Amino acid sequence: MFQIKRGLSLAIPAFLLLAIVGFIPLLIILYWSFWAWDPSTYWIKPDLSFDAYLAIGEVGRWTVLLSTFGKAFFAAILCLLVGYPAAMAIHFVATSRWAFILMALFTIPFFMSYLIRAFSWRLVLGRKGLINNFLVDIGIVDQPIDWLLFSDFAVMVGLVASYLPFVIFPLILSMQRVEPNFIAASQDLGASFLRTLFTIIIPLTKPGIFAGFLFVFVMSSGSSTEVKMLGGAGESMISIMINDVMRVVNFPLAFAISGVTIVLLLGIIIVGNRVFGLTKLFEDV
Amino acid sequence: MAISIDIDGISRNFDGVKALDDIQLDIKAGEFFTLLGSSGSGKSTLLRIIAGFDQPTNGSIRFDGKNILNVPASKRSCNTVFQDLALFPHMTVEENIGYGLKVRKEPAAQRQRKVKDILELVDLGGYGDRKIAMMSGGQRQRVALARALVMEPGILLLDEPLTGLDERLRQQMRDEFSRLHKKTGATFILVTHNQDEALSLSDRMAIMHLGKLEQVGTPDEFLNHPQNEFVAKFVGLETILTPSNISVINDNLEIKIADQKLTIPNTEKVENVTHIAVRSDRILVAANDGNGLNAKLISKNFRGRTYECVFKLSDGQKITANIAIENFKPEWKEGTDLTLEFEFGALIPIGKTNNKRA
Repeated sequence: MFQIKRGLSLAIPAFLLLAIVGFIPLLIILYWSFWAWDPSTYWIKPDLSFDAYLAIGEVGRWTVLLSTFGKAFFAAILCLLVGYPAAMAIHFVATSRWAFILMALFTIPFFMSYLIRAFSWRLVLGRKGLINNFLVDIGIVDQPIDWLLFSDFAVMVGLVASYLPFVIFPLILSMQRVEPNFIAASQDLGASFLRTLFTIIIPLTKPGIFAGFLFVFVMSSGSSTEVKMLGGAGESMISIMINDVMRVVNFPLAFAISGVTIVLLLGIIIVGNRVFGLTKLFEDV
Repeated sequence: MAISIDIDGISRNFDGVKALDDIQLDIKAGEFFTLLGSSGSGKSTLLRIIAGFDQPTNGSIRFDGKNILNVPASKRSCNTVFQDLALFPHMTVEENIGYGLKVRKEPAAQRQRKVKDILELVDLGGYGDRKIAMMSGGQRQRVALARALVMEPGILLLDEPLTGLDERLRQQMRDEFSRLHKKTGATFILVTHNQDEALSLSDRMAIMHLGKLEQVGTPDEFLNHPQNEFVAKFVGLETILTPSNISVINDNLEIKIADQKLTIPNTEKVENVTHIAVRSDRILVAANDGNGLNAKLISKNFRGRTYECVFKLSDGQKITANIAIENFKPEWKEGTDLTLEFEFGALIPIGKTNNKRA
């Protein structure tokens, strides 16, 4: 017991840091979200009003909340669909040398600023971008395709490209639990590869799947760059909406939106942990 | 139904290293066959190729005469008990055992009955709904065995299944294997590095070394007619003597060692004898007057029921003998000159026999 207590004390600096720069501002945000905002003077004053929370219910606000979670959910699922086979290739197929090279390749785009990364997609997806030029050149289309850029499609491409590594790494971590002989044993008992995938590999990597999903979902929910740079004119995200509200100094509303978002995300994490057992990711078998 | 296996010229190279080198081996239907060898001998590679987890570089394998190299592991009529057992941790004992039957699309009622029966057979009745993590080492072993046996395979492959068990459990599982072999009638192939396991369980066995078969035969052939020094050492014949002269006289071998003559019956007509192995449990010690080999006692160690004595011949060669404590005289000390007498079968000529059995 003494050893464990001493070990826990190692976590104190990190905990203090989180408390000071994380939890305390969060409490302030929660407190301020109940203040009143006077639209005529742009002034906020201490109060216990639910106006800010009611304002979220207005049209154009909760739809943004929904569409943000929708986009984040879709991006997370897409990342899993693309990332799962990649993680399998790295963990089960590649030699250690190739695994290193592949993981490096997935990491290198992160050396760039996220702004540049998002912007570079304009050069690929735009009317005069790589893809349209190529399609027109070989004659598949007469006119450049418009929906490639400034669309939900472009936002999705941007989000998936940005957050793909965040599913690959937890997936690889969770695949350590799948002994190579589990796969051999499944085959030995007559199972096809797909059967083995769905009855052995995926169930055993559930914690990694959920962790990866959560990373992408949370980060996509908080993203604004991809939508600003690649989205259509009417597109918004929670973070863009908060930014707009802050511009008119409606701090209570901004904080109320943040508060609701945090509660919803926490709910997803708690439910997901119950279902998928996130903590198993750090256990040996 | 038991299945016979013809292994025909199998080789396997890993980046230029020959893990298996032209293996030629016929295993009969219903036989308990053991591949004995130390790690790196290629025995596990051969098992993986039979199971279908690896492809040979050369050669072919036939089950009941049919080439199966292009049949995937999932379609071969053999099942494996893995060294690390490879029980699925997210399934219960029952689900693990029923997995193969479910894949095979057997109806639920029939599946449950088979799982229940096999659990009884391996003495785990009532453990069906336990998680794997709740089972002890010996129990997991039996679950793995049940998971393979419930498929009623023609061939059961056992990849070092007893490593990691304590001695008592090991004995128990060993008896279990032999009981299940008789009960199921399937062809059993056991891979092990433990010669006692191999000698006590097998109908026939093979010793592998550096990707080659050193000798194939029944356990007593290994003890009575080892074909080379490596085999002799592997089956526990630790003392191997190099005589200065060997001559064949009728049905006997006459050997000269340390300027002393010995006659050994050579009923099996062993040819090209170069060495003589000595069974340490068939040596008698007499005072320095009998007819045998004169040797000097150089060390003795108490081993419970016997003394393990090391003797040195005048030419420097050493002989280990296990002498029962009641036959060991207290006046024998390190340095005493004594005579070693060899009982029938104590001296074993090493070399190929004429009547080749494979």
